[in-house]
Amino acid sequence: MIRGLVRACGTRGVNRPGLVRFCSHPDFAEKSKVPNDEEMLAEMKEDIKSNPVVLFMKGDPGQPRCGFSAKVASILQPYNVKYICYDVLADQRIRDGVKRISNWPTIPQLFVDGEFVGGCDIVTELHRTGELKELIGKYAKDK
Amino acid sequence: FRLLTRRMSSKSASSSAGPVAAAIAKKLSDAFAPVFLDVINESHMHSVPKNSETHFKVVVVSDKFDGVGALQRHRMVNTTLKDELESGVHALSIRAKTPAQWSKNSTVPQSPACLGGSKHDQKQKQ
Repeated sequence: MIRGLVRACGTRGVNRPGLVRFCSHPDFAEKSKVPNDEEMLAEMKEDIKSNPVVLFMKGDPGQPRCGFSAKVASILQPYNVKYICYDVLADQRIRDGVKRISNWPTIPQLFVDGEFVGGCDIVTELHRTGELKELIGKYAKDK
Repeated sequence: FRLLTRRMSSKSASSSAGPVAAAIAKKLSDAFAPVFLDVINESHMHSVPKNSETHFKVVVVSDKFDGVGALQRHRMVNTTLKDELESGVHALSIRAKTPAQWSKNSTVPQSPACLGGSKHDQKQKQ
């Protein structure tokens, strides 16, 4: 089932090993069950809580489908951090759900350490001032 | 002193602000009493029908942002435009500055080019 969850690394392209595109979560694969709205929302919240960097965007970092989303993905790329990426266009519930979680009306949305950080404008500004490095620099993977 | 500007991009087919742009300008003006306000319809930059009012950039310069962090400033603007964001505007680029910040730097970066995501929204509506 296409669920729109993409695991991406800041330095990796779409075809690098370890990057799974549109994968089903193992829990749901065993049950062969389409998650209902509450399950979907709960899983999104859990991903935000348990992963240091989570990006909700249109498309994925290798093939963004929105200029604003592409900009945030390109900003993250040189930080060399591994992050979870959701494609909101894969399932309307992802798009609606993240807006409920963050109380933020637009896409893209970046979460760091469980907290909503901002959309394209704010992430761009944080990157410019160096604050983004303070937020996510510690999660850079060793090359 | 208040300077209120409303403009469309020169590439837009419309010669005047649409109803959504007008509503946005009025609400931001009422809420923030800005010293500078710009409401820019960027819908023509995206894969949406002609004369759409779905993608906007707003520049709001107000002393109501004094002592307020960036995220909260954007939330203030989002709250002010809640109705528009729930009824058709699905991209809102925000520059929210204090007068002091604006006097130091009044540049507004160009918004990124569309990569076709709006086509998905159009298909969803069909």
